[in-house]
Amino acid sequence: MASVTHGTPSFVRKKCMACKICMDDCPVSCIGVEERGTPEDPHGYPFLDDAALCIHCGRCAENCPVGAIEMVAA
Amino acid sequence: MDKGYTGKILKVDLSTGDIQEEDIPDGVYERFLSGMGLGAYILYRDIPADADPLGPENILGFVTGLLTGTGSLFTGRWMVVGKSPLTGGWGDANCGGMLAASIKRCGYDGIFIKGCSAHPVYLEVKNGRAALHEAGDLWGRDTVETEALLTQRCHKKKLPRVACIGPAGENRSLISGICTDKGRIAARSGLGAVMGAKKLKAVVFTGTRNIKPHNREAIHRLSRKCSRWATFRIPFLSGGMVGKLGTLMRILPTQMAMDGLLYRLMLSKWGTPAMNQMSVEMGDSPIKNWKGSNQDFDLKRSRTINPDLFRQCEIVKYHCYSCPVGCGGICATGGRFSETHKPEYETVLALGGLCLNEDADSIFYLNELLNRAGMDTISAGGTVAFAIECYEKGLITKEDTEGLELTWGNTEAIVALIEKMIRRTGIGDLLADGSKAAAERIGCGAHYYAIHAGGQELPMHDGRCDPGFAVHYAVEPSPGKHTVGAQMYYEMYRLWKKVKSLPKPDKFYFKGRKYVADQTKAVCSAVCSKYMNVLNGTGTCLFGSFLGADRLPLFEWLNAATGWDKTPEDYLAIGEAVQTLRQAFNVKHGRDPRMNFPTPRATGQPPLSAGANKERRVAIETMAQDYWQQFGWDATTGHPRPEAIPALDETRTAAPGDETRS
Repeated sequence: MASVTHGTPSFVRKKCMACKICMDDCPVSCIGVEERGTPEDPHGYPFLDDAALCIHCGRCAENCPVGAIEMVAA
Repeated sequence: MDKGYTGKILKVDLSTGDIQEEDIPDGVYERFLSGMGLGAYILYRDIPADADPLGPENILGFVTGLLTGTGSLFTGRWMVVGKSPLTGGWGDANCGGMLAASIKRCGYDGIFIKGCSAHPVYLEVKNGRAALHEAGDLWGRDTVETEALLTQRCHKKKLPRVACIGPAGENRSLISGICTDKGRIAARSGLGAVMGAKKLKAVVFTGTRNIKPHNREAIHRLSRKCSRWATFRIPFLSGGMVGKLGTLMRILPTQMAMDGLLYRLMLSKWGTPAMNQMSVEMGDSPIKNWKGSNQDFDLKRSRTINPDLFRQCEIVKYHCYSCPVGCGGICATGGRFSETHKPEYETVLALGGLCLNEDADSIFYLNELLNRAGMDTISAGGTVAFAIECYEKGLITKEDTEGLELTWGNTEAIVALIEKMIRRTGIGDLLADGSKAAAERIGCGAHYYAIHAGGQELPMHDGRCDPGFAVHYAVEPSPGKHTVGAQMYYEMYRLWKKVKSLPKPDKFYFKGRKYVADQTKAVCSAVCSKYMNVLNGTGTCLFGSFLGADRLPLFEWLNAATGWDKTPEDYLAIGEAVQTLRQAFNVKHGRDPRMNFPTPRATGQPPLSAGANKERRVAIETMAQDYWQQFGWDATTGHPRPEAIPALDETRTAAPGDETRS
């Protein structure tokens, strides 16, 4: 597991591909994806579903292929 | 050194309850990759020649790709492999969803299950540990219910992923598959029946281990570059325009080499239903059990499956793991099921044009019903079309159908028949094992109307329009599948950009040329098979491959994930070795490759008298022989020569494919 970062993930929608790698990689499943899109943008993007579960491991940011997750101070 | 794979498999014996790990040497991955290649290695080695596909000696493997979870894109496919009860030979089924990386995060590249349990069980795999649990309370439930119950039961911190069978697999329907994520299905080869025969209701994966490639930064660099090809959109195309484009493609005497970027753009907007009307118009989609044409299902009749209508009820795009495109969709419908996966093109046409069914609501309903039952929609549609033609010819009577008027386009009867097939009641019991098995029981020439290759119903791509499809339906070790190669696929793979010795297609050509059997076509077909084995060894999606090898950095990802320094030619040689091993599996199990040729009607014997494929014939025997020759196999029988079969010496780390070059 990646070293503890003490941050929580912040998602940069402009870069995000909605590929769900972060959601599936999260060891405690604290990342969810939106269940509804919009007519302009029909994709379901990730979000921090339960901040209390986050263990601040940074794996989501480390594994995001397009750098769409930043670990920021909680 | 981290290499993207775990180097371990889990082996489970359901007869004894024994569970053990096996270390897989690096040399095996260097020679066969993971996924399909690893499956071929284990199954060829461990399944005895006379094993009953539904007996304890058959092995069912859940395998994940070498690139899955490494930060590469389009690599969220997992596969099920085993001896197919539908064809009697090599069986595989490919599926997306969110399961693939979970297998690897549990610490394994594959789970291989043999034996048969005396009572229903499910297997729970969790971070290097595994246990069998009672599943009596789950037996009889559909796949969506089963997944929900097991997710709740096994959920601690990490959300588990579930692969399970529904009533079709439990009833050992030979056209049943294995489901995940509320309706993604590893549908083909009848492997759901193998799971049902083993009394294995589900496998639950809860893995939290980080998957470590050799060079993640390099993979991410490649992924960022690739994502640009995968995510840009064009807003102006409409569903009606795409259908008319199909008409134009039918009318023109020439054809343009296909660039998969156009297909990717259509996938981004509509998903595979983008092809609904276009395929009918251009002759790609078989109509009326392969005896009709676009004239029987013209733009007016097919207006109900206009892709724009599918998009209107889509509430969110569905992405499989690591996919930037999101060709799937979750739809809200007014029917019995409030939310459902968007039906795929194959499903729409198998339950639509193939049976002349114009009712899109029934297709949405049946799609969900079949996914919940765990039954292959392609084979189900193909079998219904077969039954309708048998009814038309008087081989099945109204008494047999218990009052159903089994006529073309009779939506009510089609729905009722499929419900019977799922439950195996009445005539549904006869049809639940697919059209070939049903034809054998009906007799009286019914086999003429069962459109299959080696027992597997053909998909919704007509080999009379693109003979490359017919070739791969016939020659693949797992016959009757559209996900390997075609002349159009070769154009979209763009492998000549990476391997200079490969032929580059002309930008424009006369359609008549597609039907001429020649060595160039054999080279292209063989390369499609080899490349697909690499894609299936890495867990890569077919639709990702349509970007083209110069835009999808598959070989570069592989080197970055493993630390190897292989060339594209090396990887294609690995694909060749895997193909030979799978073919050798069939020969070992007594399957004559020539028995996999499609039903004559599907190759234009006799030819159609109207429509897009009028008078088109495919020289399937010549094309198959040319293909076998490309692998150095016996051109008459399709048997690999003994010296061409890769040795299974586990400690060897020789150059990939060297056995097949001699």
